[in-house]
Amino acid sequence: MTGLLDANQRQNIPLAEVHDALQQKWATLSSEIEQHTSAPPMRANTSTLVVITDQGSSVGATRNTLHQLAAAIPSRILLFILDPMCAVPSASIWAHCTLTSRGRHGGCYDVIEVTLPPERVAAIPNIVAVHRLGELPTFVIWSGQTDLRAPGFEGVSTVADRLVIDTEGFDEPLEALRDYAMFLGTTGSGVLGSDLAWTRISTWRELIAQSFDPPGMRRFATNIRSIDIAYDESQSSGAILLASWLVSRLGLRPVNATSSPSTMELRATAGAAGSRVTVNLNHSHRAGSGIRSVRILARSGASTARISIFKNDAGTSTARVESPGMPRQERVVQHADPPRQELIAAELMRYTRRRIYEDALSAAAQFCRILESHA
Amino acid sequence: MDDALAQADALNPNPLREGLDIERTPVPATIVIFGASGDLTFRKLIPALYDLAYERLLPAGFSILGFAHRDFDDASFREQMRAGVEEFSRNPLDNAVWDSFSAGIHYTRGDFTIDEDYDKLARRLREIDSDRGTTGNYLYYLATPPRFYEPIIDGLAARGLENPSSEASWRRIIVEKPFGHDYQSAHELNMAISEAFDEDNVYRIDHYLGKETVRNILAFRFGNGIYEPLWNRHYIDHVQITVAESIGIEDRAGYYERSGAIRDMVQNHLMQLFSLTAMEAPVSLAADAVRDEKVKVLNAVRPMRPELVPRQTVRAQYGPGYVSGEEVAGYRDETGVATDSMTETYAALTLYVDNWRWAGVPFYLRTGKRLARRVTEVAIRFRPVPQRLFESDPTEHSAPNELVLEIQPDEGINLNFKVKVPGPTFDLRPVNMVFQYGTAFNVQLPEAYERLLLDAMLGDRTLFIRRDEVEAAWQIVDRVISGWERQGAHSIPTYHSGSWGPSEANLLLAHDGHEWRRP
Ligand SMILES: NC(=O)c1ccc[n+]([C@@H]2O[C@H](COP(=O)([O-])OP(=O)(O)OC[C@H]3O[C@@H](n4cnc5c(N)ncnc54)[C@H](OP(=O)(O)O)[C@@H]3O)[C@@H](O)[C@H]2O)c1
Repeated sequence: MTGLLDANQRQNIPLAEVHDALQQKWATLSSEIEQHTSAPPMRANTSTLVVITDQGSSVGATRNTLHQLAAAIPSRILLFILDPMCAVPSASIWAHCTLTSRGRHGGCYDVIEVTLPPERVAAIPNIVAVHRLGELPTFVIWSGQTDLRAPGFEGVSTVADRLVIDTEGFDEPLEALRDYAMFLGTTGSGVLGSDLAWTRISTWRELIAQSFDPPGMRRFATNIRSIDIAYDESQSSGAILLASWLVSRLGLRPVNATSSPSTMELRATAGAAGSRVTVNLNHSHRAGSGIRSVRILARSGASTARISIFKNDAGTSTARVESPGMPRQERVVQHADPPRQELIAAELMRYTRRRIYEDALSAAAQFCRILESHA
Repeated sequence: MDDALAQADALNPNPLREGLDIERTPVPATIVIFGASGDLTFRKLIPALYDLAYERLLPAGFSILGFAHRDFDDASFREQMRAGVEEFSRNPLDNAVWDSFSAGIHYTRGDFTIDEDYDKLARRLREIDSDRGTTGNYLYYLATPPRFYEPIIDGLAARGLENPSSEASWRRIIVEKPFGHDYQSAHELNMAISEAFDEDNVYRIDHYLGKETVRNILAFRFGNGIYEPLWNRHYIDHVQITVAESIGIEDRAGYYERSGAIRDMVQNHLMQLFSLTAMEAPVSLAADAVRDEKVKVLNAVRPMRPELVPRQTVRAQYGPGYVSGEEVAGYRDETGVATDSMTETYAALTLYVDNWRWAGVPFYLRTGKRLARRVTEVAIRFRPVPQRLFESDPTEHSAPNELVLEIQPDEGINLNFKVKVPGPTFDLRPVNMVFQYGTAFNVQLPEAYERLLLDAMLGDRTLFIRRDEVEAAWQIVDRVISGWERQGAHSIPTYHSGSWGPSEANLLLAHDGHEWRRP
């Protein structure tokens, strides 16, 4: 693709003038495109992305991610930088279109980057209301850790159709999940929440679910006895969500939770007199490798099935199923760790309620409460 | 596992499936590829299966059994297929994934016409069942020249290989194009297949149906409220469906000389695009609900009377010319083509649909080789506005609105409408509102064969052609062919390679006061 970048970013525009400045920018860019393609550009927008970050986290990296994302999913981006050094809010704008190698006009997007002092976070909903694209969905993405109980979080998040956070970056993931569950449960505004920590584990969920697809394996799904998840700190939230997903999908009730620096043990039961399922979350110190393996033991009558899925080093996983009367089933499949922009892009594709996620989140919140009650 | 247990299990839904992108993975099965040493297997089938495995869509235990003439053993066949994957798969060849996938690839040497060779095949299938847990589920893929379809089906049936070995297992068959060379042969082939396989287990492939944007025609028409009310004779003036190729016949002269453009493209791909564009809304997306509607509209096509064939169709052959700046030879100069060949490399026809929705609306279909560029599209031309308010000169012709469903190479939707040119005058100019898949969704679209192979393994027949559908399409095409035969012409119009076709095709539309789009 041959890029046609309107590099003349305009900076330090007072907020009241952003709309006109952007119109002007599009007029210039349009005539430039018309010269190349002999047709004025039309924009196929899919959404408005609102991204909120503080100066402390790396703004440059966020900006890069967003530009890559927007080139692929044509949208308007509103990037809010909360900067304690900033006294007067101001904006910078970009407008960008691409030309394909065949000389046709590709995607367009624009970016409005607003810097404002953190205490003005309450001004964000109004700025979003002015600049969001018509009836298209608005995604609000919080970059980095934020206080999920603060009024600022609530104020901004309620302008979203979908809210995206990443609890993986939080110091206390279990508590973050509890707070998030509470927020989504109480806002009542119809905001749909998601968490990149959840998006990150989608391949794990898929591989686990697939293990129960073959005829002969389904009956084991409802007879799981133990689940062992090995992970490191970089994916604590993902490990908890994975365990909570299994608990909620299997219709189990969280009954106990204990925690030590290296393990967390969660217990759940099926019904009042039902069998107990133990979920062991084994925390290793091998940094940066995320979830390493999931092992599941299930018993139906006298038969036992064992499922083990472990991550290999080169972006693949080996998934193995051992069950009575069948040859051992093993396969190696692709299992890469998608970069952040791909995770966000996956979120931007989804416009429907994610009940399965909400159920898992609520199970995680219950485990958190049980753990706190022991403390 | 015993049958009762398997059946009970099939009724238990998998509680972990809900909310995942993929609804289910197929049960372990063996795909038996007849003609496994051929071009289709090498370039399309194995690369597509590898891509499915790479993307976690195939179950562990999934197996392939290649069957053909050539002398391979498992190891050398795997080596050969690995080269195909390296060259043609969408995903990179990952050694660990390949090792695990290729452990399920097997080969049996045999001749389609020798009975005993099917015993070898049956033995090998049983071995695979016990080694890999494929439990008697077989998907037969006929990737062979069509003359072998019937011998293979007979060979399978003689060994009972067409019948599932248990209540829980299945036997399905995929039949490649061309499906017959006229109505009669297609009908006979259908009869032969139906002796061995129930229609529910027959998957007639037209890879066009596996393309994301072809399926999007349904989503676009029936998922939006604004178009369907306009989708009829009151608002649509005519429809143009184009499947243009810039390549010539390459090294397929033998096949092409016998088929020509009408059999090679019109009977299948163009008829599919036509029926999806013209059909009524199905009551559901279930395979038969969709296919019922497609068959209905094919049956509503006005039968072309022989004397109308010269007026409603054009056939032509490419002459020499230039494509992408390169000088290329004419059809009759291609290797393997008779110097007096009358085979058409271009066909255009006008169809009328005799139903309430479409009465009087012409559908123009065209396809050709060595045309200006590769493009597949469905263009809906709306009726002009009733009053020419904005034209200073009332004789001036202003093009009406057009909606183009682009299928390849750029997949997207293009709506053309008028806007006022800024300034004191009321001059209008057309602009395009373009929606391109690639720019709105940053996802790599799967190859058509991936989708179709997976659907066949899952038992979803929506994207495969039903028996009555293929026969109805042949009936339309047969009338054209017999009209041409009646004409008994000794010459065929030619067009320059690299152009948009013969001038005769322009006349076809000019009769109705229309002209072809230049895509
Ligand atoms: N190639 C494509 O892209 C494409 C696209 C759409 C549809 N199709 C259709 O797919 C089918 C296969 O096409 P293709 O291009 O793969 O054909 P191909 O390259 O000619 O392959 C034919 C295969 O059949 C085998 N064969 C022929 N006679 C045999 C016999 N008596 N016993 C055992 N094996 C025999 C050949 O084996 P040996 O070579 O070992 O002799 C080879 O494996 C055709 O119906 C074609 O129309 C092909």
